[in-house]
Amino acid sequence: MQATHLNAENKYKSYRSEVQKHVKESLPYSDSKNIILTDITIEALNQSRLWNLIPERKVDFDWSIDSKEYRKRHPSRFELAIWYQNRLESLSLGRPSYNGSRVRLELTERVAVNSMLKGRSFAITELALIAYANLLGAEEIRIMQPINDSVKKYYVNKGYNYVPSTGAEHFPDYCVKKL
Amino acid sequence: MSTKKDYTERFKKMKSSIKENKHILDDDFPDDVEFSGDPDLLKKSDKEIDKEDKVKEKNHGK
Repeated sequence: MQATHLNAENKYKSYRSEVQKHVKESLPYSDSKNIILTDITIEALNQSRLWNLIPERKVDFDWSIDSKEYRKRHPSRFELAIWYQNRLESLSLGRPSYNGSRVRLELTERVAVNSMLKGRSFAITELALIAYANLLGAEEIRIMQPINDSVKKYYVNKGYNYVPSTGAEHFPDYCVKKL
Repeated sequence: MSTKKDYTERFKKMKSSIKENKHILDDDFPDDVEFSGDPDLLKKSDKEIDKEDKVKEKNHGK
């Protein structure tokens, strides 16, 4: 790894760490002490391999293999692992645009069965995304390809605009909000 | 280039954004949703909407 790349990795890792710390402090739940926020660490990737064994899982994505290149290519990425005690609950990845004016969430997934956080993991992820975008100085966030109508409706009700895909390749639909 | 002062401002903004948006944590995201987004966005990044940036930059340069 080149020194400049390593510097960038360290810089944004410290940004994410600040965000995780402050979001964690803001959690209002009675069981907040059990919720831990980290980067996508080796431990998180190791636990994510167990997700591949869950028959009910709907996502065709091996976090330990398929996220490797993306994480290497984007040092300023948004990434988040949410734990409940020592159990991995959720993983998310996204990144800022080239000019840094917006940050997009590409994929967020929570454990498929018996989640302790269910909808809460998405809310924590959204708050962390907003905080990270502000720390980068971005002006908007985008939630890429909301999975279904209930998710679209959820974000639209919260002040996001839904932008349908143009139909052209590489222009998927998304929900967008100005910061 | 970002300065220390810029960072301090952005850091303050980050903290206040958490305070202002804390209500998100009380909202009812659909419980049955297990993921959102598309794995392909991670597998083939760099090509999608950032094209918009490049187009805008090109137009600004004219």
